[in-house]
Amino acid sequence: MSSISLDGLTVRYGQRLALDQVSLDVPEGSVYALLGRNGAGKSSLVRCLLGEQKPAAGRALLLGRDVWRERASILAEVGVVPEDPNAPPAMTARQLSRFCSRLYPRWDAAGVEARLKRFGVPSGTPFGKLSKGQKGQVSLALALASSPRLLVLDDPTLGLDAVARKAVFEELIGDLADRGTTVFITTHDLAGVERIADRVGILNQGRLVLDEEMEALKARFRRISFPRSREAAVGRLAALAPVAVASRGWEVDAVVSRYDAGSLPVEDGPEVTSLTLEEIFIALTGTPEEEGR
Amino acid sequence: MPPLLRIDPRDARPIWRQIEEGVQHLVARGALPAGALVPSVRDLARDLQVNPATVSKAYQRLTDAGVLAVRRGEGTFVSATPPAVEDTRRNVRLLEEAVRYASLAVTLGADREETLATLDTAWRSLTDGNPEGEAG
Amino acid sequence: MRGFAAVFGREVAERRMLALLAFGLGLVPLAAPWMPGVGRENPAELRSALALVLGLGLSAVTAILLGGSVISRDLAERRLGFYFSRPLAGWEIWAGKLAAAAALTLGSALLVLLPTALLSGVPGPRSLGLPIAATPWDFLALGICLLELILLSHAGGVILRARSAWVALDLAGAGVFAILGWEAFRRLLFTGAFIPAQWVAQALALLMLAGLLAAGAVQVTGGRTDPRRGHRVLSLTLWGLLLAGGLAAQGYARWVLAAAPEDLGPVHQVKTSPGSWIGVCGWNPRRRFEPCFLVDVPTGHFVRARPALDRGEARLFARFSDDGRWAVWLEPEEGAGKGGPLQLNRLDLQSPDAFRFQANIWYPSPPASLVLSPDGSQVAAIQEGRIVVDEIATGNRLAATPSPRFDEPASLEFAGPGRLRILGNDVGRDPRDPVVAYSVWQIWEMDVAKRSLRRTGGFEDQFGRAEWSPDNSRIVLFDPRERVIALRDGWTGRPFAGRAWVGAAPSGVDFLSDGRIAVTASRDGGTEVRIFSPDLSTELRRRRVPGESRLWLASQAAPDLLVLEREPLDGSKRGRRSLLLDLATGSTLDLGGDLRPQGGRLFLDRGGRLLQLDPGTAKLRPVLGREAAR
Repeated sequence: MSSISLDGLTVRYGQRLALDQVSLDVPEGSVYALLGRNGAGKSSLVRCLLGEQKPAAGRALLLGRDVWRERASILAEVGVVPEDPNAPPAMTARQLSRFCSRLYPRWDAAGVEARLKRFGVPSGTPFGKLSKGQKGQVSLALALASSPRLLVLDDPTLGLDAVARKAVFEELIGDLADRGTTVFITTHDLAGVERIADRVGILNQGRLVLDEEMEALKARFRRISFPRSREAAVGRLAALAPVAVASRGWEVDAVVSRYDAGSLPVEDGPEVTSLTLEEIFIALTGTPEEEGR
Repeated sequence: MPPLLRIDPRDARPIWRQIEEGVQHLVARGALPAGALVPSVRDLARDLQVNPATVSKAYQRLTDAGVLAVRRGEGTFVSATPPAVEDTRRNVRLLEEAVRYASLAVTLGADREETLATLDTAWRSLTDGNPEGEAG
Repeated sequence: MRGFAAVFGREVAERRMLALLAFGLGLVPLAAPWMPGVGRENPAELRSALALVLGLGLSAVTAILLGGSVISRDLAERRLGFYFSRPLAGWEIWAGKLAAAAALTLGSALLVLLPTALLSGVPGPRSLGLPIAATPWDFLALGICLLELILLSHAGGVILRARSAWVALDLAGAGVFAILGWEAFRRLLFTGAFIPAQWVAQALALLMLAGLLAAGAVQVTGGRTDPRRGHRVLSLTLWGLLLAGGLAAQGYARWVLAAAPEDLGPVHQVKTSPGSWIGVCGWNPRRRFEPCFLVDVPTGHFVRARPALDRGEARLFARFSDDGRWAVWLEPEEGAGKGGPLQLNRLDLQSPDAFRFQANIWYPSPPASLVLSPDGSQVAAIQEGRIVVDEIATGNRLAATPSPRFDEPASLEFAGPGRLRILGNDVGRDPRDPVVAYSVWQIWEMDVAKRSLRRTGGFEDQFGRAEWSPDNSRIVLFDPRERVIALRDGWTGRPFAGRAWVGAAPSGVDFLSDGRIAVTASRDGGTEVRIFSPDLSTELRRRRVPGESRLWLASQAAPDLLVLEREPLDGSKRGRRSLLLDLATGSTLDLGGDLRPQGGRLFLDRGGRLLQLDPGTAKLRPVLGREAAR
């Protein structure tokens, strides 16, 4: 069963199309990373996902049910870490934990305390007085305390330093190992998410331009470089579905998306390297001016 | 536990494969002696900052291949006896990897001598316990 | 429900300081009598007044501040997502926060009042000098007002912070609703329909409360974390409901004021005319107000007449011309409050469907006396000590002269072309027996063209029941000292004819419509009705009504059919009955008890039904009105 199922999700703000017929599925127990540049539509998608916004068209199903209609009952099984930690500023972490404990079927208050202690976040300080990193950690602790079947994290590492970021991922991984929670995470931290995501989606100007297993994705992207003099080779690149071709000095640098070891454009001398997720992302969502020669 | 494995995102191989082969390498080198305790899925995932499912998959394959053994309640260990691989399978595997290596060499434009020389160096480094031979 | 309780508890806990503030304020009135510059009389009342003012003030301020912040500020600052990403239903969020705002508002008011209440009792409106007692309904009304304040503040907060174009709908909707509601309320109020007006006001107030509640709920559950969407659904819901209510109020007002004579319950006022038309006011039980009409009894044709409000009561000042062709009445200005000026309206009874004529004649207040000339062209009234005569068609004021003053209110009559007769009544007392009072009549004449008044005559009336003939030329009365029935000149009051009277003093002396004189008197265990010729010279008829009683002439149903009222000798009103006497045959018919003759052939029974006598069958037939429902 899919933990998340988006079907033709469309969101409009006046004339502007923020999301255009986005459909994706997140299988149970997997980790899905949604990438996109600023303004690509990630926030709108997450709002639709959580039933905060009604899409102009399409549906969002969480744990098999329409989230706009059955939001309150579905969210008992979902932990949410928002992009902007938005708890009431006057409440302390302890009060927040107590407040939430009345809303969820399961609540591990002791776990919250333990986690916060591990992070070094004081649980008696009003939320508004915590640093951004501490707020994020409180949000994560609260999200995990209800033993949710699904975790939705909206850019959880935004603005965090390296240490805080590592702490977030460690908690996440620990939770994954213990319970196999489904995770949906939107992020800019491509390096961090590269290792733990099973599936990745890329949102560009409201369209889902990629929705694939991480392994398969990385398997088919390569960078191929060869001397410029081999002009004719450029034509033969087409078979490998290039997404970005750039001329640099004496070299042609091509990022191809359908790499096939058997059909290289030149027989001798092409340099083939694999790409990190970040490089794939840039290649797919870079502005048109960056492409072509 | 000091990290003996590293994941290279730039590596063409999937992460689980990197882990699997890394463990195999360590066992073959003797860095992980027979009967030694290996990190739990959870711990290794946290150390490497990877999805536990990925680690789990690698461990599963290693267990299937007989490299690792799980003792319920105690943990995962390097198995006492290395797997006795069937001859035919062994040969097929050797040949597969050789073909792979050879095609890579051809792509890079190495000729036969260079290819064989490089292979020789690698083999020696493994069997001599040379730290330079660590593969990622 | 758990979610509701959690949100409620959280909102209240966050504002704990308010309780402290409220209690602190509550201590202020206790110290008030000792503050410098404050008088010492009645410290308890001072405390109560101060506590009440502080309590109401604090709760009003709290209502506005909390209402505007409890949701809309979180919405604008994007903090509502915290609630919406939890398993909290939209209604739980709305209800929890709203209930917290209400509880805090009311609680703070109570806390302010508490110390004073413990010391000197619960303060009520009396402490503020208002001469009314506070009923539980008043506290409920106050609570509803505070709740509406909270809801209005919330709606305002949402609308202002959303900064979307839907504000235009809000402004338009508010304007239209206000106009519809206020207009309906006002129209009902100034037509004397007080109860319907009150119902409209209450219903609209409750509708506003319900509308704001519903709109707020829809905004939270439908708009969720989107301020613009929230504003849109709030506006659509609110104005949809309120405009429907405004239209309903208009429809209701229209229905109330569309009362017809056939819907009348008990009839209260009747004004008869020489013709078949009457003026009538009665209570409409379904619509709960008192409409007035001019009705043509045989056909049922009617015209609505708005009554003047004279000291809170609806009064129809209707007059008919002698030729039965014209009717005039006074109506207050449309939309004017009570005590406003009254305008003269005239109707041509021969073509009543024609446009009624609103003359340019206004009376600042209800006139003491109002008469219509026999041809229906002029109207005269005694208004604020002046006699005013106006021409109806042009609205020209023909004369305005100070009226002579009398002990009793004067009456006017048109008595010939360009001539008005003014009758006044002074009280005379016998110096030998000051307790006994008698009337001293004053007769004046006014020349309209010359605008001059002169006294033409006067006379003493020991009997107290002098009657003028239908043509105003003669007066008939009984003189108990001389024991004669005397005829006097209608203008000078000088006697010119008389007839000696033997026996008990008559109970009534009247002119019949053709000038004959009727005298009723007790005799030999019964009552005699004696009819004389217009000059008293000849007795034309004598009829006897058996039974000891007091009898007098109430009205004339036909030339030889008299309606008499009969009362037991002990004067108890209960035994009063109406009798029909046929002069030609001498037969009498008991018409019934508790009937009030209205003139001509019309009677009003005790239940308020208007009955008409059919001379042929001598039966009373109901024509208008119904008995009040038990």
